[in-house]
Amino acid sequence: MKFNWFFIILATGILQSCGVSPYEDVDGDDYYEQKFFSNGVKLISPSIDDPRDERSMKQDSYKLNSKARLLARLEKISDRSGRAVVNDEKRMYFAISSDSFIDNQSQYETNIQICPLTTNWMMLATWNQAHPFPDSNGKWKKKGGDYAEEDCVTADLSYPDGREDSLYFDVSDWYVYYVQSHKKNYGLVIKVDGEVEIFGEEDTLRAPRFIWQAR
Amino acid sequence: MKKIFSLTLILATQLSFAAQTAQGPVRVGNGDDGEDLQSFEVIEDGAIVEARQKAVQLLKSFKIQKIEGLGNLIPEVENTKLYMTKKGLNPAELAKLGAFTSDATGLVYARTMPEPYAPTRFFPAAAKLDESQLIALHIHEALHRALAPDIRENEQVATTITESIVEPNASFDRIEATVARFRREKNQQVIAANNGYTGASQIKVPEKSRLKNPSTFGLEARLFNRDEDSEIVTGKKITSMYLLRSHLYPFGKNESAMGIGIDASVVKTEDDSFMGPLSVGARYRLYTHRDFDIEGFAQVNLNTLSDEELKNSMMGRDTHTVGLTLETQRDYFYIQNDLFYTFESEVEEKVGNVDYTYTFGSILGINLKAGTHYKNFMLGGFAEVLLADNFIAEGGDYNYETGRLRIVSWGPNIEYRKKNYSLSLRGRFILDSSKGASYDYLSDLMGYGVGQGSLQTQVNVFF
Repeated sequence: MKFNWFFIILATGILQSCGVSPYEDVDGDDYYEQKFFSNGVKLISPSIDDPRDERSMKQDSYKLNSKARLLARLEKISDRSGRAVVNDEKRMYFAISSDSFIDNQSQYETNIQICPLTTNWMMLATWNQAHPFPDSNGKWKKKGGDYAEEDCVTADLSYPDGREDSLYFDVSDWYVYYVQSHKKNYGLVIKVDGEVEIFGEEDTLRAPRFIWQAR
Repeated sequence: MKKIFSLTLILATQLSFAAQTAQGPVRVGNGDDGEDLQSFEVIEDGAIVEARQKAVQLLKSFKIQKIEGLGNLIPEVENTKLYMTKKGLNPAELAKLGAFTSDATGLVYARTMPEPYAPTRFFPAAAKLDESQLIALHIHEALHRALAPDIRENEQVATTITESIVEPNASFDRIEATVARFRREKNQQVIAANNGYTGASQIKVPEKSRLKNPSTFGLEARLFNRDEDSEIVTGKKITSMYLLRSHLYPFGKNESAMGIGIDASVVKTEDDSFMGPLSVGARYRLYTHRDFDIEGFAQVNLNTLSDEELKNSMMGRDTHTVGLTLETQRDYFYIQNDLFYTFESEVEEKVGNVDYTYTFGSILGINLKAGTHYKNFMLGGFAEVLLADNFIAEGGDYNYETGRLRIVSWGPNIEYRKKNYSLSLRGRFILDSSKGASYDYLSDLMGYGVGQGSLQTQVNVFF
């Protein structure tokens, strides 16, 4: 019996070290929730020319508007989502948080869109360029990022048991089509009509994050 | 006037022909112990002395002392003691004394010893020469004392150089070219004599070869021609770079000198200055043949940037290059071909929370430098083709490859060079490149710089 307790403690430790959220419970159907914070987060804006500008990365928060967008990617998502289950019932979500969302989520339901990027980019991306390297592909076809307009999604306010300061976007179709089927993880762009300040990747609890069910 | 010059040339030609009929270089002295001077008396005035003064004037008019190898000619003409024979000597006695004769007439004019400040002895036949012929004779005899020891006894050399000085169309450049030709020929003879000889090298380095004064200490300033893309890649507005260069050749002789060079640099941006890359290189002459120098070189450019941001960017690359230089310098032009290879290397940069690795493929480079030189000025340029293998940037789920890059460059070179120092203005510009590549994607700040090219000024001291 003592051995069993030791085994449970050990297993919990291992699961935590692999990125399993300590805040989500394993459900009764052997599914458990995995949450990974987006590690590739980059603010692009016409007012920021320097790709290494400190304001464009590693921030506690970012102010977004029609001229300031946030690129977000979970690097090596294929490796991390090996146990993910994404189907009609089990969905993959992308979550962002802001103090502005508290008691006011419905206002931002349609003001914020999450769109799949269609051009590969890196952390030296700017409003004009996906990367700085020698090729015409270095420039976005359309300034502000190339994304699939028709595949943009808005917040899913029916997300169960979500945080009150967070909006959850169903990105399952993006994951299945781009990542699983086409092996292209170009990430997502957060577009905002109006203005909102969301938490950045330096906020350890409320950074942009991917959530899915795994088994 | 033309007749006088013609006679002078005939005299010189006869002297030359006499020399050619002999086997090998003609000896101009034969163990003189001073005994034969008893038959001569000092010449203190007269046509021969006056001719000497005019010979000196002629040489000064050409600034002959500035020609390499003829620096002592005027003093030799000016200061040699002149003697005239007291009695006639028969041809056999004169031959014993090593006197010069004309095989056409059998007349003897003068003789000297092939060593500095030896006296000149005139023979009765010289009294029949006119002034121009005497001037030529003074110069001819003085050349046997003034030229380098390895060629001063060669009658052909003295005669031809005399011709180049006294001919109607003589000029500084033509005289200099004539002297240079004999130095080259002598070098080749020495080289040929040494082929197959495995002992200590006796190879002569051409007078104008850089290897004559291989060690260099210099300053260089580079002003970069940058565009917006360059700033995006490097993250800094690098505007200029200043280099302190010290290449010392402490090992071996000139002909096999091996040198170690160090280049330290300071990089200047619009906002501040910081320490740039450090270069350590070595050069070694592998071979010389027919005035062509072949050198091997290796160079390591180390990332010693003191600016943290730049140090951890693409510019923080170490490069290792090996290559061959083939060089020749002729009377009026020079050509230098460099063939070099830079090994593949990597740089890592962390941007935000993502680690990127930039892999710079190997670079094969061909550089052709050519130009002409007139007196101390060199005007030329270079053309260069760089073939850089795949540039890869990868990190997280981002992966980018350029495939092979080609950069074609050119640039002018204007240089003022004296024996021990030089001032130069150079340019380096991209003529054509694949995929819009610039020097930024070679990431060799010390080697190629950044952006679309640069203007360079250099001050070098050679020793």
